[in-house]
Amino acid sequence: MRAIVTTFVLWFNYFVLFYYGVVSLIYTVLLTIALFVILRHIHRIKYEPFREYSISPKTPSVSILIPAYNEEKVVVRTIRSTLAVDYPLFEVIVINDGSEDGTLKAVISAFGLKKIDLVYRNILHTVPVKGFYYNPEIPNLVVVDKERSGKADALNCGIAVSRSAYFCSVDADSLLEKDSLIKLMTPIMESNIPVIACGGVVRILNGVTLKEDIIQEINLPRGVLAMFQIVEYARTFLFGRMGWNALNSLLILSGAFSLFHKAAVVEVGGYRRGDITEDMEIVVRLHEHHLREKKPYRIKFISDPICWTEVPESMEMLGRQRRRWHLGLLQTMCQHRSMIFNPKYGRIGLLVMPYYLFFETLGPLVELAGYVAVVFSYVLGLLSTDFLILFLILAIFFGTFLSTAGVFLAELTYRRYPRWSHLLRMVRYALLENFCYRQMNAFWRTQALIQFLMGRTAWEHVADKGVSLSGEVSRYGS
Amino acid sequence: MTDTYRHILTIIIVGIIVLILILLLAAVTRRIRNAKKYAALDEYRDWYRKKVNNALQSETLTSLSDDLRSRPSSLQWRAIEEVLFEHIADSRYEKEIAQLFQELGYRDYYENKLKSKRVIIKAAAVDKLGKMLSEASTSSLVSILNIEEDPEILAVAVRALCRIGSYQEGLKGILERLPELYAKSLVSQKTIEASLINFSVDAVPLLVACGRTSDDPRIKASLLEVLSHLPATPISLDFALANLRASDAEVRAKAIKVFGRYGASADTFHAELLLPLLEDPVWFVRLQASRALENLRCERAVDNLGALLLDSNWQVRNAAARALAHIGNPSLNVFLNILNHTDRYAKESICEEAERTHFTQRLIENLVSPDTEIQEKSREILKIMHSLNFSTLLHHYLKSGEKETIKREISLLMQETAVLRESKGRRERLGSPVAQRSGKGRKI
Repeated sequence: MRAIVTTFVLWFNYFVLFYYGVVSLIYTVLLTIALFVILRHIHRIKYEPFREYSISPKTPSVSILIPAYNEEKVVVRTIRSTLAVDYPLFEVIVINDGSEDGTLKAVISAFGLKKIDLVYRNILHTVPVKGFYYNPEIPNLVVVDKERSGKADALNCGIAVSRSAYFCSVDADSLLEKDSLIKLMTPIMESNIPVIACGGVVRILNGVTLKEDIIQEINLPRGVLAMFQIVEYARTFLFGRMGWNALNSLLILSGAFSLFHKAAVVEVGGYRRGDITEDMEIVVRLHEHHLREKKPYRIKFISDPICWTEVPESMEMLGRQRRRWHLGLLQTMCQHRSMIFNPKYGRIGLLVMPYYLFFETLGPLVELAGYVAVVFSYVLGLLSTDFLILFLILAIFFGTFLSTAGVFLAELTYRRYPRWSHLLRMVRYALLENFCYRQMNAFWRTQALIQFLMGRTAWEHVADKGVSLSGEVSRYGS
Repeated sequence: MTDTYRHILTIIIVGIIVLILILLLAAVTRRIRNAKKYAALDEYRDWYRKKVNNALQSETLTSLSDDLRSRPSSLQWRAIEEVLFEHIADSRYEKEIAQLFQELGYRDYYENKLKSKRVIIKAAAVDKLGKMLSEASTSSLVSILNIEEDPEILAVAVRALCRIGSYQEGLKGILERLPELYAKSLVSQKTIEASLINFSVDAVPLLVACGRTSDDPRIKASLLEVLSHLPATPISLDFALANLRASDAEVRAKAIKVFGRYGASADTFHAELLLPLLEDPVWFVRLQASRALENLRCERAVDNLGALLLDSNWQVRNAAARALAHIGNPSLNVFLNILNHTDRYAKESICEEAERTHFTQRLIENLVSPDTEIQEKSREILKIMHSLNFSTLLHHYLKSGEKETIKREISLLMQETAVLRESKGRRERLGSPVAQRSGKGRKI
């Protein structure tokens, strides 16, 4: 028996080693690609036609959709920042998704809205709408009040109300840079191949100083968890997504701020109601549809920070958010399993989906199992102490390298954290991240995996998100 | 563990540590360098801004050329360039500043950069020449347009030439290369259109000439789109007229858009030409025709637009309803006819557009119109709207309206609708066969 266990643990150790090697290789390749793309982008930005397009009558109109559930403390701020974007023609559609707090009341009183009668063309089969609110003095703002049915359904409702060829989803707790929308639209206008979706970098709002709903001073948050997330976001957005973008293989665009071609989304049936991470699912479905139908398309990502959003600052809420994200990932992978290793879907089917399955979905489980294997190896006398130490040092420094690379890439983008103390703090957290935060994340994600296997796919709400700015509210997670 | 493995792992770890240190060093160096550079640049900018502003106020800008001379690509050079760019958009100083750029050597510098093989350097130089409105560089930019195959450089070159705005050379160059740019998908249609609208009305003859000689429907559609953003001229209208019957739907739709530009001052002759297009088999042609007629406020189109209120496409139905609402009281009959129609969806489209376009307000005011026919018809329409639950504006007037007579009328029509509803309900309870059609939409 002992011989069997020993052999198993030994082979499992080899497997973890191999697994770790492949992941590291993929990350290094993505990082290298991202570095080149971002360096090129910061030179190209000098002749990008943002300003011309921001006043051009040829720039397509966009509907900005803001689904809101119990957002009374932040939604007015978000709408104000959205209405202030530099864009020639846009409408803002706020969808009050059956909020139980004073969200609707806050919006009505802040913008002097009155109820109007509009026809609701229920093209995406959403739950009933209760009413529309409008102020002729702010003709590009419409508020839709509907029964509670989740973010995906609220977005579908916004799509049905929208009158533009493009729509942009914005979280109700996010703030937009003034030139954010035009920066997303420029690659669409410049491309010869239809760009059906475009996303940008989301940065963390916690710690930032606001004045009249406009970012006045960029600062780091005091909270440890928010700091870890700053480093994590820099890594995820600036080399993860930039790398995949260069291969036209993006599977995720942040729901906090992404632009979509409405007809493309309507053609695939809109957001899937009840999905936990509707933002990932819609992107995968768009890939699936266009590849199956052999239609030319692009899904793009730009490296400019364009949207600021709040992140949870308590362990409980962060845990909920991470479980929810991972459950969403599992759900999407499961729903689109026919794409995995399917040559019909090109590099998405043969490279990206398998990557997400083996390294993103199962990664946390392998990581935790690896820790357990270390203990077993020690008990079974298989452990070479110096190998373990060297391997641990390698893992820690490679993790630090990736996070430092994220911090470095963030330094290259505009709207970076300005002070020297910011840079030092971020580097410190890039190192510290490997000691506890990473393991906690793996634990929450493994919990999600177990929940998924047990058939639980319920949405966990993230409360007290954004305490640094606006106090405690219950709302959609981001 | 063998020594070999230990050594390999150690080397990898040291390598990673070195990479981390390189990244940190790069970040720190970049920060220090940028901090110094931008502090100096800010200072230079302030200094030159004051000088240039004073010179502009005293109209002595050209005499500044000796003071502004600096070493190419130095910080002073960059600061001067940025300060001059701040003023070049002002048409009062446009020519003087363009001349100054030339005297200071900027044009020669960037024209030299056009020889670079690196896409970014070349594209940046093209962009700068365009921004400094260097008319003398037009031929260099046209030759870039003719020989380049890189989409990025081509897009920037098109924008630069359009900014400079030289018709005979720049515009001609773009139009000559247009077939190839489209055929090889080198520049997007949107980029071309958004750039060409920078030309003024003087560009119309060249655009039309190019459109007339081209067989490519994409080029024709693009040029018509550009013309629709420029003030209408007899030549552009003739060209649009010639394309109203084009076999390509996109071309037809864009040709209609040119007519739509004419607005309320248009000759009714043009409006009549558009009427048959309201029956075009392609929906977006009908849509454009409705929009154009809305701009033209053509009363003679009322019946044809009325027919579109029952179109199979909802965007066309809405556009027709909006056009009729903008035409105003002459549409009352058509509205009444359709509102008595059984298609609930068509009725709701009318009600929605009536509210969006403030036509409902006019209907409410018509309740005390001296013209009894208008008064009666408006009353009837409001009654139907109320029965379809489009009553918010009526309630709003009752609550905060000014005229008591109108309030009385509204109360009365609401009572009548309530009575009608009650008797209808009674008939239904008694089993009367009342036709119910829900339509495609759903009213809230």
